[in-house]
Amino acid sequence: MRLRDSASSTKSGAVPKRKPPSPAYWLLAAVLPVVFLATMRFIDAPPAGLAQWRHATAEFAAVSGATPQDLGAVAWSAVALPHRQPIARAADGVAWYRLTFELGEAPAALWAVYERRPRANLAMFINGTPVSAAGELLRPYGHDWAPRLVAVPAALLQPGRNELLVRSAAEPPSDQMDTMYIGPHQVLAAAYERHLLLDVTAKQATVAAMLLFAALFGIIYALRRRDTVFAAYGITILAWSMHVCYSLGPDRWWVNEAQWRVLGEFTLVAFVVCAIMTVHRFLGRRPRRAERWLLAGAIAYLVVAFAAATFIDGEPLREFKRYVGIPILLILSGRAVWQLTRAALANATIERRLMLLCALIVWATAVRDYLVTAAGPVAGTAGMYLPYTVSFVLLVFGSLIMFRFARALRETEVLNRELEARVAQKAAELEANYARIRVFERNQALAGERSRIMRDMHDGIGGQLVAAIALASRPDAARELDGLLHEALDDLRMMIDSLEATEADLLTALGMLRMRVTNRFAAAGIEFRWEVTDVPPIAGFGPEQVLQLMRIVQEAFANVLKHAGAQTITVRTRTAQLATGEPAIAVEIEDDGRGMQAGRAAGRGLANMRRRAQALEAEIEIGPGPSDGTRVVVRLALAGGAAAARDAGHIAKAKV
Amino acid sequence: MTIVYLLEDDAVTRRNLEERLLAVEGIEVPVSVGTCTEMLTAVRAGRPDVLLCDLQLPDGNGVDVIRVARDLHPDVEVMVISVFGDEQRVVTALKAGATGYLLKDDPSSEIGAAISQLLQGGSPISPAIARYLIRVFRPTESPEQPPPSPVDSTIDLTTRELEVLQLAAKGFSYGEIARMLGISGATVSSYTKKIYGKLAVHSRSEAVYEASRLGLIDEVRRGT
Repeated sequence: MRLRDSASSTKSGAVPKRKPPSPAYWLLAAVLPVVFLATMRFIDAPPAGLAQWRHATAEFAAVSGATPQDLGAVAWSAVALPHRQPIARAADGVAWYRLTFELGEAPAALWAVYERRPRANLAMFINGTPVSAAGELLRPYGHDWAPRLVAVPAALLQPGRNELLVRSAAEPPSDQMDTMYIGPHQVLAAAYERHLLLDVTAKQATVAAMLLFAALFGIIYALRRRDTVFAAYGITILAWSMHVCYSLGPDRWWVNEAQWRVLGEFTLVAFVVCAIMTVHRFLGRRPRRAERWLLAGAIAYLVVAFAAATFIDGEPLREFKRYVGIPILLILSGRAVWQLTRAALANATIERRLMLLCALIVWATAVRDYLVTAAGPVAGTAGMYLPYTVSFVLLVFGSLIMFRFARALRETEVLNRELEARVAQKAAELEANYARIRVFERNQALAGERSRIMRDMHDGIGGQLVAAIALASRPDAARELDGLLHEALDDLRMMIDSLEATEADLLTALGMLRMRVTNRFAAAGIEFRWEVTDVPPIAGFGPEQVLQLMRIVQEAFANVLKHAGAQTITVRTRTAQLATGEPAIAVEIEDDGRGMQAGRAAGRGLANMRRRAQALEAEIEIGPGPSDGTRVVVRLALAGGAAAARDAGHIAKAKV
Repeated sequence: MTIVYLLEDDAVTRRNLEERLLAVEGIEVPVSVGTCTEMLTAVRAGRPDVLLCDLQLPDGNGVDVIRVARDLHPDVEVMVISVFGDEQRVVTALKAGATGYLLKDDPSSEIGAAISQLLQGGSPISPAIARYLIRVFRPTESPEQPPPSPVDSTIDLTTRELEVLQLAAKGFSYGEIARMLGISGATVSSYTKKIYGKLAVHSRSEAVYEASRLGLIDEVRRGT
C-alpha cells in the first residue's frame, strides 16, 4: 500500500516496481533549465528601442557637495557604466557623476532619466537645475532592484551640449551606478513600467503566493503530523519568501549596510538549508548527523558573518561570500540535487521526476545568478532570476499534494470495493450457513415430529386396532368392535386436533374434545357443565403436550362414562399453584357419581393418566370430589414442564 | 320434502350414508354419485336443497363442485362430509361456500338434526373453526398471524358475531352461548351461518387482492 510518500514506499518494499526514467525525460531535464534561463533573459533584456538612449560612460568625482554650485573645480575621471564596487567616495558617502549629451534641437515633449537598478540615493540636475529630490544619505538607500524614472521638462534642455549631474549618496559595499538612459519620457516610461512589473510587482505577487502556500502546508501538517514532508515544504517556502522579500529591499531599521546584507544572507542560508532537508524528507531519508552539521555550520557562518560585518570593513566579507559562502551553498544544494537524480534513476515515480525537474531548474538558476550577478566572479548588473523559479516549485509541491490526494482516493475506492466484495462474500457464506442450519433444523423438527406421531399412533390407534382385530375373530363382537373402532377414530381425531393446537389455545383444544364426546354424554344422560375461564398461555405447550393433556382428560371422561353412574360432569379451568408454589393452571374434571371404588384405583386407565402427567411434568390428583363423585385435577406450571424446557433449549441451540 | 344430493367416492360409506339419510323423515336422495363429473352434471340438470359433498375425489376437488353448485343455485345448502371434521378441510369448504359439515360416522339422528338446522338458517361450529374465524376477521388480536390483507370492510363481523365466535372458541355449546348472551339457540346458529357467508365473500375478495398483487388482474390497478 502506498499511502505514504513514494520514496518511503520503496523502503516498505510493498510495490517496488523499479523503472528508470525514459531518455525523453532526461532530455527534458537538461533542456528545461536552459529554456527557462533563456526565456528569463529575453524578458529581462532592455526593450529594443531603449538602446539608442543608453549612456555607457560617465565622469566620476569622489567629492562632497549638496548642489552643483558647491562643486567648484573638480577633477573628473572617466568611468564605464555600470560603475561597480568598490567605489571610492568622499567621507560622507557622496560621489558625483557627470554625463554629457548632444541634442540637435530642443525637444518638444517631456524627457526623462531612467536607471533600472540604482543602489544609492540619487539627486539629479539637468544643466544645473534640480529635477529630482533626495540625493541624501537617507534610509533606505534606495530600492535594490526598483527602477527609477525621473521626468525632465523639455524647457530645461537646449540644442547642442547638455549636462546631467548626479549626486549619489550611499554606503559601501553594495552601491553601484547602473547604466543611465536619457531620452523621451514616452520611451523610457514604457521600459520603466515593464521593469517595475518584472522587478517589483511580480516578486510581490510571488511572496503573496508563497505565504499562501506556506499556510496551506502548515494546515496540512497540522492535520497530519505524521507527514513531516509537508511541514518541510511549508518551512522551505516560508524561508524562501523571506529571501524574496529581502530582494525587494525593505527598510533597514537600525543596521548598517553590511549587517543588512548579512540579514539577507541569513534568509538565503535558511532557504538553502530548508530545501536540502526537504529533499531528505521527500526521499524518506533522515541523515541526522549530516543535518546537524548542516544546521550548526549555517548558524556558525551567520554568527561569524554578522560579527565580521559589524567590526570589519565590508570588502573582505564580500570576498569571503563570493568565493567561499555562496559556493558552499551551491555545493550543498547540488548534492541534494544529485541525491534526487539518483533516486529518480533508481525508481522514476512521477513525484520524483517532477521534483527533480523542479530542483534542476532552481539549482541551475541559482548557479547562473551566482555567476552573473554582483556576488559572482563574472559579476554584472544583471538581475537575479531565482525568485522567478518559485512558480515551478509551488506548482510541483502543489501537484505532489494532489497526487497524494488522488492516490488516497483511489486506494480508498479500491479498499471499498475489496471490502464490499469481502462483505458480499461473507454474507453469502453466512446465508449458505443459515440455509444449512435451516435445513438441519427442519430435518430435526420433522424427524422429531415424525417419531412423536408414530409414538402417538402406537400409543392410541395402533393398540386399539390390534384389539379390534382380536375382537373381530369372536362371533358376538359386533357391538364391542363398534365401540373400539369409534375409540380409535376418536383418538385419531384427537391427534389431528392437537396438531392444530397452539399453547394459547388450551380452551379450544378442550372444547374440541368436549365436542367430540358431547353426544355420548348426552346419550348416557349425563349433563355437561362447562365452567372454563380464560387462563394464561403455558410456555412451550405444543401439540405433543396438548395431546398428552387431552388423553388424560379423555381417560377421565371415559371413566365417568363407564363407571361413575353420574348425572353431571363438570370441566373447569382456573389459575392455581403447584405444590412448590409455582404459578400454574389447573384443569379439573369432576363428576357426581359413585366415586372411586377401592379396586378401581389401581386400574390401567388411572396408571396411564399418571404416566402421562409425569411426562408433562404436571401434578395430577385423582380422588373424591366435593359431591361424592370423583375429581381429577391436573396442574401445569405456567413456565412449562421439562419437555417445554427441552424444546426451548433445542430451539435456542438451533438458532445459534 | 328435502332433496339431498350426495357426493362420496367410497361406495360402502356412500351406501351407508344414503341409508342413514333415508332413515331421516322427509329426506330424499335422488342423486348419489362418486365423482365430480357426475355431480356437476346432476347439479346442472336438477336443483337440490342440500348438497352433501366429500372433498377429496378421484376426479377432482369437491370445492370446485361446491362453487359451481353455489353459482347455479345460490340458495342451495352445502355440507362437507369429512372423516375428522378438522379445521383445514372444513375451512376450505366454508370458503367455497359450504355452510355446514358432517362427520362420516355421525348417526342418522345427528345427520337429520344438522340438515334441519341448516334449512332453518343455522350452522354448526367447532371451537377450532371459531378460533380460525376470529383470526381471519380480527387479525390484530392474534399477533402470530400474518398481517391482514386489505379487504372490503363491509364484510367485517358485528360485535355480536364476534362474541359468539369467542365463546364458541372456548368450547361453549350453542345452548350455553345463548344463555350467556340472552338470545335463543337458533339465533346463535344463524349468526354462525352468516359468519360462514362472510368468510366466503372475504376469501373471494382476498383472492382478488392476491391476484391483483401478483399482476393477474390489471383492472384493479387501472381503476385506482
